[in-house]
Amino acid sequence: MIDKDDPKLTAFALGELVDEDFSAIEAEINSSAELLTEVEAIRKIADEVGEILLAEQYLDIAVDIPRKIDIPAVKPSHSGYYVTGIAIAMVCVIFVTIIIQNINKNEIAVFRPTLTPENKVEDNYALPQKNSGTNKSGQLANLIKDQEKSIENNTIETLDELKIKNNQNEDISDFLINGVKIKRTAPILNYKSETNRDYGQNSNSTNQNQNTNSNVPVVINSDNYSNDQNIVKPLELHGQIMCQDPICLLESNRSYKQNEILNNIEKNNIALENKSTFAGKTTSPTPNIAGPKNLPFFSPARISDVSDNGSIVGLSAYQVMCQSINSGKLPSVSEIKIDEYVNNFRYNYSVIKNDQRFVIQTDMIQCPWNAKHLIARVGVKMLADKTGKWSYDNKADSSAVTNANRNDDHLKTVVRFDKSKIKSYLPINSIGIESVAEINTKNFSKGNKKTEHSAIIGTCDISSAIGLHGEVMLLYEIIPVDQEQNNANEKSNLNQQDRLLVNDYFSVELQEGEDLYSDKEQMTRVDAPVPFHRLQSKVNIIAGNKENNTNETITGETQFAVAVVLFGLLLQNGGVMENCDWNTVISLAMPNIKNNEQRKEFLKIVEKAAAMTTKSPPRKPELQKNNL
Amino acid sequence: MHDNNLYKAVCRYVGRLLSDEELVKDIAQEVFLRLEQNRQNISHPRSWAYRTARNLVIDYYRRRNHAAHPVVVGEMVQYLPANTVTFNPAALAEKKESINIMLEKLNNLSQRHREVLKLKFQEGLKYSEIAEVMDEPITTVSWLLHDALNRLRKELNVNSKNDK
Repeated sequence: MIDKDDPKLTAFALGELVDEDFSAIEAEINSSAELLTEVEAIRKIADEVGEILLAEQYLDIAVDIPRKIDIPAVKPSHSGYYVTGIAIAMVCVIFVTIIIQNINKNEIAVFRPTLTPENKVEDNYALPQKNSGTNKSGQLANLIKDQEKSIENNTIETLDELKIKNNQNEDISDFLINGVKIKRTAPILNYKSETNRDYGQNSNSTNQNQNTNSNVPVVINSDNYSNDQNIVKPLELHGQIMCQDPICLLESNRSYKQNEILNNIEKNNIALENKSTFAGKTTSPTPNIAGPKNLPFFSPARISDVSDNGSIVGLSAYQVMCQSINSGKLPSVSEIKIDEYVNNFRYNYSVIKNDQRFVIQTDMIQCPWNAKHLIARVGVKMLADKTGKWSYDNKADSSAVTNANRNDDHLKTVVRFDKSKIKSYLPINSIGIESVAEINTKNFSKGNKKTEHSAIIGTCDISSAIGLHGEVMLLYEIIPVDQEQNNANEKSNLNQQDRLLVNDYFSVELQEGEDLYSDKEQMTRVDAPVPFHRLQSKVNIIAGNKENNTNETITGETQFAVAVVLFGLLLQNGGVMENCDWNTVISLAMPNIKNNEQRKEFLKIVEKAAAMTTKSPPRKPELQKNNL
Repeated sequence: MHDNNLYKAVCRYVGRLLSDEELVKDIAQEVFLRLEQNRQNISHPRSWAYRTARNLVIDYYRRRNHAAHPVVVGEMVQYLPANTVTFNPAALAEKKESINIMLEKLNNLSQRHREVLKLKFQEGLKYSEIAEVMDEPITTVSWLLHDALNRLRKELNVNSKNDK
């Protein structure tokens, strides 16, 4: 007997039941009008949900199975057969010669069980020898079997494994992957935890950290694959590798072309085959490997299987930009991510006290590119895990919503952490800077809530910043309404009601999300409303109120953040902006360097970018002594 | 399912979880490389492909968001993107009002509820396939789907009563 809450009813309505189950449930449903109604209701809601979900947006990419999937194993040409035959004949001749020599020396059947280093077959593609062979031909067969097995199993021999296999202590700097010799091209940096990252401020510790973990995915470059354009290079900043993560590396090295790579692989496979055959070396099945197998770095996920070591992914745009500018090329507009640039730096936040999970700091300064506008900074420092145990319940939510709530005459902005309402995987660039009013309009059109007293004026994904520093900075360009009214010529699509939302008051209230309960708890709390936690008292800042801007430290941090924003905007605009230039960036950033290597590096980057975009480079920054 | 169709389906699925076109392509390609390499041992290529794609996306987000924190088995789902639902306004322009309400209710559901709904109604997977993708027992999948639809019904009923 089933009741209305039985999942089988849903399964029946959705056509998931078969045979006996279906017949049994169908009989029961047909005998009960209540169940019949229930099934109809389930089907109705399922149809509605299905209709909406099918219309959901997704990244529509050109979908065809890529060419590399279809690549057949490279077959030798007809001439290849001749060459192979000749090579085999040569190998046979060599063996016969050796046997004859041994006969002459009366050393028949006195083969050493292992190959000595002197007799070791020089083969770029051979795996280390095993001691199981009883004669030379047996050892040769073992070698070939080993290689075949390695290729079949798609094994990746690590440095340690090679050492163990070889039973030797000599330093091996290469890997064998699918029988192809792979060389390291980057030193290894071991990121043990967030706190170990010193961002180049301590070069000694950086050196000590290198080469400490052989399990870290290495940036690899095949010997047989020497096209420099296609080598995945590490990102470097302050003399150390900032990003070891393959995805990050791949994202930053998109210049290589897949088809070219695959063509090279085909050529290389043929070359490999010819090489090994002509040279009379140990025959290797390597040439028969299909192209993609030779490129373990081709796919990000492949290396991720080797290690999931932490890295600075998500804030990589800054490193990519630095790398690009250092190599004499300005980043393309699509690569410029101001939000990531801003949040790449550490800022001076208050210490989180014992009973707090969040600290917020707010500040306002004059907008450098429009004197009538203000830049509001909302800095959030989050204690992501208060207990020390990382679990779903303890984790801080990964997105922020900024709401403008108009209650009576007061406008307040709520930075709220609520994963259930945020499209955290959509590219929303409001962390860096965006006109509040523009965000307002945009989100209204997306169908977000708009009520008399509440409206979402900004959404952003802060997960990457929170994941890295536990900090995130949100900057908003505030357009005072009075000014808008006085300046009727200013272009804007906003109506008066929207502009009111950003007028007069700008306050911040930080609240923990509504949806911080684990899934299990939620399941057992079907009807209970999830309580709303308020962990931080609100901080009101009235625009232009000097009392709140007297803290020079905070204002200085805001100035530096705005300098970074301006830098990004200048990059986007080719160095040309009304009322601002590279010197403005430097003048904003200079007083707030505070002996910070990362910020000093930033100044150098600004200089280089300026030299690339303008004929007359900006004045060279003269760091004040107290800043060094 | 023909490989090309499956490839498109996987691209679409990953494309809903990630916003980087190159990354979507990379992950889809990786799924198919593995599929090709292990085809002999895979009895259900469709659910296998979805599951691999899901795991690769989780891998990506785990490294991206919480690189310093250990993975707790059973909490992998937290590394998936919020999986909230957005819709193409042009596709459903006529029913905008009711859709907005439904979207709100859908996004109020838990991550797992949304995921199971998406796998069922977007990808058209069967219970058994969803179970394989999510690495959950079929009974859990069955209950999650049932519960998700029930919640939506209740929420919508409350809404319609309030309107009256």
